[in-house]
Amino acid sequence: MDCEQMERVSQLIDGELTEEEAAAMRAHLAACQICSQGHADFMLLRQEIKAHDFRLKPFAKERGLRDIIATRNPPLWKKRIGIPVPLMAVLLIALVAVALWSVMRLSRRPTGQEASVKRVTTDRHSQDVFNLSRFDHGDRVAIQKIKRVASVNQ
Amino acid sequence: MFRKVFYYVALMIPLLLSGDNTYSSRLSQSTSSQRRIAFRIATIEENKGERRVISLTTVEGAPGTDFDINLQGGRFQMNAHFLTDLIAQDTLKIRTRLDTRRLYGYSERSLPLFEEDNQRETLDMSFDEAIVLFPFGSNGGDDRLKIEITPNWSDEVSLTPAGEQRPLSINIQQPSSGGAVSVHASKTPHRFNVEASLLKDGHEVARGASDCLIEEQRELFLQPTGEASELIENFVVNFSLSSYVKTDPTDEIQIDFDLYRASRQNAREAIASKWSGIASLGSQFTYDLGNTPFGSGKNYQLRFKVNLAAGEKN
Repeated sequence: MDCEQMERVSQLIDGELTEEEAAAMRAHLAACQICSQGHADFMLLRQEIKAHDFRLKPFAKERGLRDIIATRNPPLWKKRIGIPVPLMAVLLIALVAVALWSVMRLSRRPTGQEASVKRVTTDRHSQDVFNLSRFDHGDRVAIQKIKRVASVNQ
Repeated sequence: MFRKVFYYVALMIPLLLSGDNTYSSRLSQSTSSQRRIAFRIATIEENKGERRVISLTTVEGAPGTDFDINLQGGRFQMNAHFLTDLIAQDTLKIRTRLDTRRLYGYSERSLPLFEEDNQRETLDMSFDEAIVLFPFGSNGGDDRLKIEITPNWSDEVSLTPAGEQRPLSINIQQPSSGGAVSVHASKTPHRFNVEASLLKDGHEVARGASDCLIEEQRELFLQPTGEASELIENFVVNFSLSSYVKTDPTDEIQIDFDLYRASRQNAREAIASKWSGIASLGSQFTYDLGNTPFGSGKNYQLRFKVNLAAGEKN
């Protein structure tokens, strides 16, 4: 029970046929019981679809909107960054190098007690006009009271 | 009648004699304190017995003039601070603070390391004596540097005919090469009168007063006053006026003190230790002792008032 014109019945309902084709199809419907029945079924289905209430419940609508927005703006910890593999490799190598350098530097730092001191043996300020270094033998400053003699007043 | 006159004359003779002595001594002290004192500061290099004067400066001012000698030579720096006071007719009290700093070397990180030294000395000296300062020690070798400080009475008086104090003068007769030796001088009040009172509930229960010198510790014994019938303990304040700052409208002072409770056996118990403060000269400033074990639960306060001593000018 089939008619090769059945597909055109659907096209007629959807308005996809030209005037001539639609007139020819209507004539066929009048003669073909299968296509006529099919046309009637299509129209009934269409009416039922139109009659259906498609309004969403507010809660479901809100949840649906939230889901859509969430897929467009994922949280920071779920975001993904697309980095080319060579760049990623260079970054990893640099990170490892910095970590190794830091460890080596920390292990070489002397403690306060171990810090060695370089004693000055030459005077860095030899350009001074009046060089006091020849008097300096590392002794403490001293002060004395003396009886005045003639040379003091000179 | 004759007998009455005789009694009066007999009574007046010792009074006149003692009065004359006091007056003459005060007069001579006053006259001498009006004369200026000149400090001759000579930096001398000694080499195998030969003397060469490197710098020569004279600081002249009223008694109580202070001066600083700074030595700056490459690795070595010295600041010698001299507080001078005329404590008797011909006696000076010289208090020195000697701070030296010597570049010792460099750390592994090329940071400079210094050797620092601080010394304090007090010398009483007459005008026929001198002070010799050895910045690098008195031993030395063939080359030795010393700074001789010689006080002399000046012919100038301290006050102008209008009674104002003449400004001090610094006369550089021979500057040192490269500014290795520099001399600064200043005149600030040195002698003060301090009063300390212990208050309970706002009433004075003990009091003490004393003269004091700047930068010198002085003990004040607080004696119970008439209102303190229940107070049988003695209190001692260890007081020092550590600095004097000239400001407008009134000058300011910094004080440091400890307060002790003294028993009859002279044992001392600290009530307040290393307390300090800044206050205007002449004003009363009070410390609440409520947060000490002694003053806990009682309303005790310690109040100070510091003024310039008689004859001292700010």
